[in-house]
Amino acid sequence: MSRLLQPERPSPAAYALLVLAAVAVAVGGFEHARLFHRGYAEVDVVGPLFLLNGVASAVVIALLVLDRVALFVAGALLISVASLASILVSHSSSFFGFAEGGYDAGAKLIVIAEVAAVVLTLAGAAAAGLRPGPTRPEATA
Amino acid sequence: MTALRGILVLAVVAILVAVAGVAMGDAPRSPDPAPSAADVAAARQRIAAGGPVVQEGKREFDAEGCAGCHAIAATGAAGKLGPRLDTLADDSVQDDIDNIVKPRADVVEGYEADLMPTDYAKRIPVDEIKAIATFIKAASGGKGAGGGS
Repeated sequence: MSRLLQPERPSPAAYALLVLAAVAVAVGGFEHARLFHRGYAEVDVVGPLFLLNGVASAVVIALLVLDRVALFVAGALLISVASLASILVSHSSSFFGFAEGGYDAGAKLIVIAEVAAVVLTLAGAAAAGLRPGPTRPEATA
Repeated sequence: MTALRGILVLAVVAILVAVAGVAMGDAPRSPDPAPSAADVAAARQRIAAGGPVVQEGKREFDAEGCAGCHAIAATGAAGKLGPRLDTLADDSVQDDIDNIVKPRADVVEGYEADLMPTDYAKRIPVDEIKAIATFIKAASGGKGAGGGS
């Protein structure tokens, strides 16, 4: 747990991948926030979740600015996977009573951004040597 | 590293601007103005007196989440993703049925064509779709807005 809160400096290559992941998260968050103001605000539950997606995306990216790499990876994956799952559910049945019949330009952009965020975050985490589970073994003196 | 950090800061700022709604535009505007207070009161009366079909239609309208996208002032539905449904006095009940089961056939300008689901005819029994259309007709007024039983 404490490892999550520790600042880490990954290699330049890993950091570049994580920044690209952050840009993808930003595109998804920006588009969700934009759509909130363009009509989704009136949709129960889903509308506020769009705004929450934007706020959470900004917070998660700020974590990377502060070098909290593990927290960024966890947050980016949580946002992107949850967003993709929600879109799929809303197109196949309904998500909190909200159903969509197709993918308009905004939905397509969000799907592309969230998929890119997942792929780039996993790649960046792998390059940074992050593994799920207990902390890495301490170097012995 | 500094340049990359700058990109991250810019991304955070851009999202916060979007969250604040600055220069994000507005929801699509319905071509018809919202009904007057007198029209809304009349619609409430028609809905209340509309009989079981209108009441069933109202329940289905709510249950299907239609209010998330469409506005009907008489019921407090305030959706903005689709056109308002209480200004369709010129449409018949059959027109409203067609709009539900074939939503891509006649898309109101300014609205996303791909948003409304196209599977209502498969998922909802025909009598319930007719009830929803009858409820919309009662909300809009015009010829044949009595609702029936």
